[in-house]
This record gives sequence, structure tokens and C-alpha cells, in this order.
Amino acid sequence: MKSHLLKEPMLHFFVLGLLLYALLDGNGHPVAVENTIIVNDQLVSALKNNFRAQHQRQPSSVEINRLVQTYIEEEALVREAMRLGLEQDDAVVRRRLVQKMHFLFQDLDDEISLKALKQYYLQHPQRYHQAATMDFEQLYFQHNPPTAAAFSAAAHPGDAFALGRQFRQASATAIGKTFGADFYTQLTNLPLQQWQGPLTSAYGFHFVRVKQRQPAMQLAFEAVADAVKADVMQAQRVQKREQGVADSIAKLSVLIDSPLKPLVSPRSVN
Amino acid sequence: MKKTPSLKQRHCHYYLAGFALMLSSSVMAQCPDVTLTKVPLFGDLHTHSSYSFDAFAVGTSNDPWDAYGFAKKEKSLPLTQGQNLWIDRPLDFAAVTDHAELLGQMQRNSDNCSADGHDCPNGKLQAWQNIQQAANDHYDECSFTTFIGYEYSKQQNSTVPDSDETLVSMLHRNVIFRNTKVPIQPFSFFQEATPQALWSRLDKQCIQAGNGCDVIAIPHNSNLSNGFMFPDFSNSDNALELAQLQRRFEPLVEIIQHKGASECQFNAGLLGEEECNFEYVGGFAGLGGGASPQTANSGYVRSALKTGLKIENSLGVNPYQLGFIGSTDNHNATPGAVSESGWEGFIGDTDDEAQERLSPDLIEQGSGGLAVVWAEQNTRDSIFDSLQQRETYATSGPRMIVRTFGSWDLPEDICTQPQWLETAYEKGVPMGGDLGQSPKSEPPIFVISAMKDSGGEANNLERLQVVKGWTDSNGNSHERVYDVYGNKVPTTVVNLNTCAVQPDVGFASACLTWTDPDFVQTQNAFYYTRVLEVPSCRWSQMQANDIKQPHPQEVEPTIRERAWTSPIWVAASEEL
Repeated sequence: MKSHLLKEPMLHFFVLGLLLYALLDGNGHPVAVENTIIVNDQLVSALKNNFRAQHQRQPSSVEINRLVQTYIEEEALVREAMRLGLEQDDAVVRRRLVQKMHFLFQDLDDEISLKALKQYYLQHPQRYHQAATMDFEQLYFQHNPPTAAAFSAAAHPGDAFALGRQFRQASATAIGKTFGADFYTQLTNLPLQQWQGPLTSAYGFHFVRVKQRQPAMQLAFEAVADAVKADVMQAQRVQKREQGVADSIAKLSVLIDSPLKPLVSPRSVN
Repeated sequence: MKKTPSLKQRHCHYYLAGFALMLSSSVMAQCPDVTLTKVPLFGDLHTHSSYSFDAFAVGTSNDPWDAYGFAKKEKSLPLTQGQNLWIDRPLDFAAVTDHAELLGQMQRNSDNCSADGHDCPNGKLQAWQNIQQAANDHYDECSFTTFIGYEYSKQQNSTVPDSDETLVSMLHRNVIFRNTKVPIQPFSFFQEATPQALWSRLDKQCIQAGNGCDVIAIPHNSNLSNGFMFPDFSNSDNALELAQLQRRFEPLVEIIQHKGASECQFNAGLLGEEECNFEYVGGFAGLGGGASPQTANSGYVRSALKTGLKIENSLGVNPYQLGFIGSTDNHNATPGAVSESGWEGFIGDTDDEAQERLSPDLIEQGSGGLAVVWAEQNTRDSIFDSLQQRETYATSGPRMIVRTFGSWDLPEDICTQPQWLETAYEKGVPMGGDLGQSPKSEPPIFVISAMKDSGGEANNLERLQVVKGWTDSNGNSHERVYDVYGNKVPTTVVNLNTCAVQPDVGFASACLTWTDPDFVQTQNAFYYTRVLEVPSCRWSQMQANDIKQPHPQEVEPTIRERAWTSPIWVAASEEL
């Protein structure tokens, strides 16, 4: 779906955003009363505070007058726009409102108990473990590697490798990232401390000596408590957002009056 | 003439630097896989989430937490068509950089919003806190690094001389913080009207805060700045102060992203060498267009590097000693989604259909690039140090591995030495480094090592090039591109119907030394490496195939993906 907001090439939303902003915000001030725009101390002080936050100084009296004048113009136009119903069927206004609701739903400061954190940790063991790693040395041959029988590390130094010869504490992920996905598989069953090869990678051929392997291990809760907390909070944010959407729909009855196959569940965040 | 410290003084600096390094590393965390000869980490330092007003306006609903989850390949994210996107391979680091302007004004309590159509401090603070929280939640020391940041999106309007046309020029920067110590609010162009004012504010409220706050700003889309991004300001009143500020805060430039490459200016047959035509967006109505070619040129990075040398000759300070990174500027909160195959556009519902992306208006958009940092370990301090030292390179998406070192006395056979990396660091400087003056009137020696991307499309490399820029004794700037390895292969190696590339062309890996045949000791100069892949299908050809329509004529159906390494600089020596 395309909203056809803009047809400019390379979409310069920035300018548009500023224009839209003038229509979208600044309404909802508590001083608004029908047919009257009230400029009271509360409003003026809010305008001054805002100016101070932006400019790190007090506004001059001229600037205050200008702020108030701008406010009056904006307020008048916003009310007139609303009277004409210009906010209706406006994709941007609707999205802004939806986004504000999402923000409300997930605006949480819930205390998370230690017990809840530990429970989450136990339920997601795969998230809190340290992968197996290995230390190895490799020699690289872009073309024409020696045969296994002919190879000796002293006689066959190979070609330059941008990451050098020695690799320490390398996980499957790290090895795959550098040498290509199949390379780690070739390393897994090699005997320790022996030169083996030629193995193949995206770059060509390698002789490898695996020096040491470190097994995978579960990390203690204490070592990952911060990460667990972040994960729990993230899960809660997602859950609260989905709950909020579901609750809002539940307040209404939804009537599907269409021969189309309906999609009635809210879009999942994941 | 530029003042360079004597050799003795410089040695003294090294000792001090070494001492400082020992001090700092003793308090820094050390990861199990710390690598003193450094590893390449791949990231994206330019991504927008739903907190950016323009992103949400086009339907992006993914927030900063989602963006980091995407970068780590922990989750897929919904795009505006409802389809879910996975990153093809996880990143090593990322920064969500939402626009500071109108940042996240989605709070209910907007009572304090200004009436002048500008920022809303309360709303901004809440969003700014969430941005920090998301970055901190997703920082996994030693495996995935996040940086707190934002975009300062200065748009400069000016009038075209002798005309009533308005030039709209982008002077945008991403502001990236080292750690959790950040100012209480992001400074947008509503507060600080110029980049110079932004740096002063960052200096005052971050650097001088004395709490460990540290920050850099990274300019981007200088190709759309009408030449205003990197002017020669050496005649302005406060030139020296400006040069020092710029140098302090802007060690890097984003040389490629969705809205094109900024390396060098191109106009077929008129200006720019042929490779400047890569992902070239020459400006367009209303943005980055309208300036004369001469004026627009100072928006390009190669021109900036040359201008920097000139300013250095007059002021003694080079304000444009810029290293390179690539990134995306993605507005779907999907950092690092740079693969040509399966590229889904970058800005919400505006370009979420292949038909739209292939339209003449949008066809010049690209799949963006990546920032690559040589770092000892995947931590905030380690990566940020390397960003400040410019030990970085940019790629147009693929993850080729590229190293360059410059030195006055590297052994010719360094590539075949077992300890070549240790030797290179000991006797030379890595990419982004400063070689100072030639001690023996001899040219610098460079070692270049490049390996193809082992994943993704895994295309071979085609050529290695060195781009040199210098200033002659009359103060005129020059540039030259040297082909130092490999041969150009024709685009016919790509089958446009299947996008298969002939497998036997190009090479997987190369290492070589190179010496400048045109070295003149009394000229200051920079050298950077460009690594080209063999031709392959551009995203647009793949998608034209998918929807069975002809490829648009406006752009080439194939590209040579590439990497650009941060330059190495050489200082002019006095005449002997």
C-alpha cells in the first residue's frame, strides 16, 4: 500500500514532517475553551519553559510576545481544521494517534522481582550460555595447496591471510563469519595439535592445527542478571502493547460485513 | 608551512600514547577473544525507527528495541506491507539514530510543547530515555555493541545567485556517543542552527562534563549538500578555531548509504573518473540539486580531502582528515539490511513494492552500505577508539576484508612473513593513520591485503586501486587513481536473466606492497584504497527479473560492489 503522501524522488520527508507537525501538535492544551482562546499565566509559563529548554536562556519580552502570537494563530487554525474535519481520514494523524497509544501501553515502571528474573533465566537457558570455542592456527593457500602427505608447516608457509595465522577462543559463529559457513564443520572433529588439511573455505584452501577446545557452558544467573532484566522488560513491553491493542478492540464489537476472508486479529509485533 | 613535530617529539608522543593505552586498557573489560592485531567488525551507524517523525509518517512501527533485535538476528520485523524481514547475517554493532528534530513527540502530556511549531521537550526527553534504554538493553559486551546516538538534521536553504530558485542542502550529521554518559537531551537544529554550534554545544555539555562523556559527529549525504558540506573556509575570521572543532568532532564521513555514494563527483565525459559513477545521485529537484558543478564538487569526499590538505598548508590544521564508513539511513528500523538480493526498500510504504522502487523517481536509491571497524574486541570502548582513530572502512554492502598499512620502512616481503600483522603495526600506521614526514626522502610503502566476502553473494574481487590526492607547490590540488592489482572484467560476466556471475573471473584474496611512483617529498598527500568486486546484478535488475519487466534505462543493471579504506596521510617535508 502506498499512501501517496509524497511523490518527490528520494522522499524528502523532512520538510513535509515539519509542515505536518504544525497541524498535529500543540493542540490539547488545557486552556482551550469553546470560542475562546485563553492566554493565562499557565500557558505563558509553559511557553517560557519550552523556550528555555531549547535555547538555554530566558526569552526576551519580544520573544514571549511572539511565542504567544504564534500560539494563538496555531490554536485558531487547529480548531478551524478540526471544525472542518480535516483530521479525519488523515493517514498521518491516525498513525500518530496509534503510536501515542502504543507509547501509553508500554509506558511501564513495573518492579520486576528477583524471582521473576530467575524464572525467566531458567526458562530460556539457550539465551544465557557461552558458546563452545576453539584455539587454532591456520595456513592459507589460495591455489594449489600441497597434498596432506607432502605438507609441512615449515616448508609451506602459504599465502598472506588478512587476519593472520592465530585464532583464539573462536566460536562457531565467529569462524563461520570469517571463513564461510562450512569451515567450522570441517574443524569440529579434527584431532588436537596436528596439522590437518587441505580444508576448503570461500578463500581457497587451509591447513589447520587445532590447539585447544573450550566447551560450551551455562552462564551463572549473577553474571547475566542485567541481560535477563533487559529481556524481561522487552518481553513485557511487547506483551503490554499486544494486550493494549486487544483490550481496545474488546471494548468495541467488530462486525465483518464483507465476503472477503477477514483478518480479525491485530498484527503481531513479532 | 605546516608545523610537524620533529621525529624526536613524535617518539615522545608515542611513549605517552602507549602509556595512556596501558592505563586505559587496565581498567577496560577484556573479552576472551581479544585480538591485539584486531578483527573487522561490521555495523550500521545510521538507522531510524518509529521515533523519527518521517519514519512513522510512512508507516514504520518498529521501535529502537526492535531495530537492535533485528541487527542481532534475534527477530524479524514487519515492514509496511506486512511481510516480515530478517537480516541475512547479524551485525557486530549498530546505532539507532533517530532525528533529534521533533523526536518522538508521542506523549500524552504535551502541555509543555511549544506553540511555535518546534520541539516538545518533555516528549523528547521520554523518547531520548527510551533510546538510551534500548541501546543499553541490547549491548552484549564482547559480542554485540550498541551506541546511543541521534541524527542532527540540518537543512540549509539558500538562494541561487541571480535567480529566485531555492537551494535545499543537507548538512546532516549522526551524533554517536562512546558510552552511557550522554547529555540530558539531544541537540537538534532548532537549538543549534549550525554544525559548528552543535560541536560547541557537544563540547560544553559532553566533553567538558568531565563524567566520561565522549562523542563524535559523522556527516552524511554530502552528495546532497550542494557543496556546502566541506567548503574551503580558510579565509573566514575564526578559521583556525573552526578547523580545530571540526577535526575534533568529525573524524569520519559516511561515504555511502541508501541515498547514494559521496566519494567523488561524476558527469559522463566531463568530470570524474569512471568509478565515480557508482551509485551516483547527482542531486534532484528540491534537494542537493541546482548548484553549479564547481560549487557542488565541494560536497564530495575526495574534494574534501584535497581541501583539507590546502587548509592544512595555510592554517597548520587539517579540518577534513576524514576516515570512511558506510551505513544505511534505513527508515524501517532494519539496520544492516544491505543485501542486493531481497532488498525491500528503506522508507516505509513509499518504496515497499518493487514497482515503486523501479520507478524513475526511486531507481537511484541503493541498498546502502556498512561501517567496518578494526577493533581489538567487540566493546564500546574498543570500537569507539577505532572510530576516533579512523581505523575503519566503508563497504557498499558486502563484507570483504581489507587492510592497509603505510610505513617508511616495511620489508618488501611482508606479505609472506608469518608475523606480518605484528610487523605492520610496529613499523607503520593502519588505515586512517598519519605517517608524518618522510625521514629519508623516500616514498612511503603501503601494504594492502584484501579478501572477498566469504558469505552473502561471495563474489570475487576484481581490482585493487589506490587513490592519491596532493597539493603542489603552487597550492593546486591534484588526484590520481592507480590500478595496483587485478584487471577490469566486462559486465558480460553477469547473466542478467539469472544474475549468476561467471565463477572463474577475479580473485579471492591478494596481498601486495605498493610504492608511490610519483612521490614528492615537499607535498602533503593522502592515499586510500578502493577494492572493487567483479560485476554483479544490482538490486534493480534482480527485482526487474522478479516482476518480469525490463530494467529501467536510467541506471546500469550491474554494479561493482566495493570497499573504500580510510586514507593514510603523509605530511610535506621542508625543502632540503
